[in-house]
Amino acid sequence: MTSGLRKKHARVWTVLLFLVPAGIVTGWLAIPANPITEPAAVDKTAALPEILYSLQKKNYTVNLRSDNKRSSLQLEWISKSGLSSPSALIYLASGPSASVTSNSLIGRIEGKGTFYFPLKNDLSTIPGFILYDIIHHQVIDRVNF
Amino acid sequence: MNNEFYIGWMPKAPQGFARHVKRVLLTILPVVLLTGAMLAWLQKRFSTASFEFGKLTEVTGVYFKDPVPMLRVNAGNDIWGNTSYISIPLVGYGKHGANGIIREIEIEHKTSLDHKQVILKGTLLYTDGRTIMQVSSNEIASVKIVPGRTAETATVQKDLGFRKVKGEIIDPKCYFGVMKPGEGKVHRDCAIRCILGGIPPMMHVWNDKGESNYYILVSSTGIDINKAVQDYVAEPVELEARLVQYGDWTLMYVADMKNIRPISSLQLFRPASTIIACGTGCTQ
Amino acid sequence: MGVSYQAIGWNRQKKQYDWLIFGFCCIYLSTFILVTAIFNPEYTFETVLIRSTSTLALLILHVILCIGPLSRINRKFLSLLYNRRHLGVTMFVLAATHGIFSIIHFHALSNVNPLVSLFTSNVNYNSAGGFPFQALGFFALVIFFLMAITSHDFWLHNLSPKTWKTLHMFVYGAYFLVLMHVMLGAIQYERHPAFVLLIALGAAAVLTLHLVAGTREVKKDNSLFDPAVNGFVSVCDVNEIEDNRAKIFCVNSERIAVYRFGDTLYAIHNVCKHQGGPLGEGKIIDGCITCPWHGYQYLPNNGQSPPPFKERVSTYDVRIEGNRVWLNPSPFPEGSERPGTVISQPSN
Repeated sequence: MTSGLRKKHARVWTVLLFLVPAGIVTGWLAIPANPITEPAAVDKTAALPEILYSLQKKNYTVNLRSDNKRSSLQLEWISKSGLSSPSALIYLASGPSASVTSNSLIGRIEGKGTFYFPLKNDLSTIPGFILYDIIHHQVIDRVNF
Repeated sequence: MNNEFYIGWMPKAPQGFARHVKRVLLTILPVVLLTGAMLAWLQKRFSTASFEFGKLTEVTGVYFKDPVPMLRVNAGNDIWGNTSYISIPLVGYGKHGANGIIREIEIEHKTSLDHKQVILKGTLLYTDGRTIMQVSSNEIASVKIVPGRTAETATVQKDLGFRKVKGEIIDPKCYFGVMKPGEGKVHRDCAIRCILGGIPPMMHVWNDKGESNYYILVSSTGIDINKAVQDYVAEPVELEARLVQYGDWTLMYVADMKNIRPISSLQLFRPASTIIACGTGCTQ
Repeated sequence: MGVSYQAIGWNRQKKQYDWLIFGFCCIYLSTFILVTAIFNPEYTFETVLIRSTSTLALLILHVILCIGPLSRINRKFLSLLYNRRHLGVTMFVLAATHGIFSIIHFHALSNVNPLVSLFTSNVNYNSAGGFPFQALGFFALVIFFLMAITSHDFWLHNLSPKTWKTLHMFVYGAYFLVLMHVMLGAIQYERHPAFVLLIALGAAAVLTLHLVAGTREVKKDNSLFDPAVNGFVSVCDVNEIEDNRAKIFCVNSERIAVYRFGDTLYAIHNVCKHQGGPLGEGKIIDGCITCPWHGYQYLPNNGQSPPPFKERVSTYDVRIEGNRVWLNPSPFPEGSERPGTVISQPSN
């Protein structure tokens, strides 16, 4: 290298010696903190105290809850992972292989989280449920305790 | 002194050089490969959102142009006898909102779609049990409109009061499946382009258990705020606004840009407070 | 050196070098895609393509930037330096794949031209965390593009070595742009500390090697000589210079190589006309001083490349008094015939 080029290299690397660490530190300091909002949902319904029936599945746990006096029933749906369908609605099933009927909608699952749905206080038969995708018109799963 | 001398244009390197290069390469190449594998392994997990690319789905519902273009699908009556709906916000092709394509459909069918029962074909995007639908000009011909304003009731609204949340303003089209990631700094330019193209901005909030919630952002008078949020997209922000339950979605009415505050980034100066829109009696 | 013109003078070494680069890139990209697919079944191909090419380009850029100083520290790295431009072009192709796919992915199908969108979508220049990092990558890519298209010796000759070298020194600026592109882009999203650590380690390696190599050069150049006598400076003993080799002396800020060829000493300018390689670290092969970087050759008695080549370097007068070698640092015009000085009584 000519003396001019050597000088240029020396200048460039002297500048970079300060600029590179400064740049890396600036970028590192700028990394944003994870913005957490608790709770993520607007309102949370409280769980009723007693679990009458429970069912564990790979992606979710379903509990049928009631209060101490058995005067109200509640469906607790604990979704452990995200959904892979455009919609996931829970319908009351009249039998193990029943299809979705009118006036049977319980509620809707929205991804990961715990969801509570009030049920009619009728335990004459153990209720079953259908998880249904209303957009693709297909049964995602069935829940029979 | 070792008298070996290397010349690149000779067919073979001297033995000493060849041995040295072999040793160096046997060290560097595995290190680079392992570094690459480690980078691939340490990447943030890809989201489970889905974009049904190439698959069209026919959806029947009532079209509403406000607060954002969406199709309201009847999900049947619940056990208490109330009719339940699923609302599917609509977006256009590419980085465009649905307004353009809806206008094209209205011109083609010579009628307004607002509050009408329609059958639309489109491509679904969904995550966390929420869905949006892309409608492109290829699907205009297949649109079916039931004449006359629908007899179905208006969407139920409920004021949930003010709430301060932390999260990120996203363009839902990318976040709901077109892009992975459809969030964060790497996706920022794309999110801005989508929002400036008319895709309704949403506030995505989450907690440390990974549970998410989505709010559709609208200005306090319901006008389009896409341009106003440009500088706050795809970065962590704190936002305080009035929430209104609108059917199965929650709207977030942003009154003033000072209510959106970037968090945890080195900011040389704060963007000036800008009032997006004022109701009656507001002085700017 | 070949006599007839060839766009690329392929030889066994060059072919091995290129096949190795190509093979390694294929293995790296496949490994990255495979590991991503295993741990992320939900991955999208566009994203994995953008990430695999960018990480490989960045890793190769670090290797490229280390080869120069490593060659100064240990000449056995010269075999990696010879075809470094091939590595540079490979890095550019990978970076361009990353850049073009990113521009299409993030900016196409919108209401403005993708290149306009690149500079107008995010305008948060007042924020470090929000800084429009894509523009930084774009400018780095422009530099790599200019370097890649001018990497062939055709451009070196046409642009003149000085202009060419100046243009190619922009790689240091491009490196900084790339670092900031990553720090203000991917690092803001990928929050695992390993990413920052790797960037810092890479930068530390590049900076340290350049500083070590540079410091050694400065030390060599700062050797002091006694004042000149009749224009000649006493530089060393005759027996310090081996046959067919040279010693380099920095007199009046310019380096001169004093070569011994048989029983004669010759002095020529140390800087090769090709890419500024240190001729004094070369060797006389077939009667020609051969540059250690790319093998350019010069006759010791006149500093001219043997025909048909036309490169010429300055020559200097050198003489021997007793056992001392005396060098006149005033250059003769490039290619001037100088007889050298005969070592009358071999000292070893």
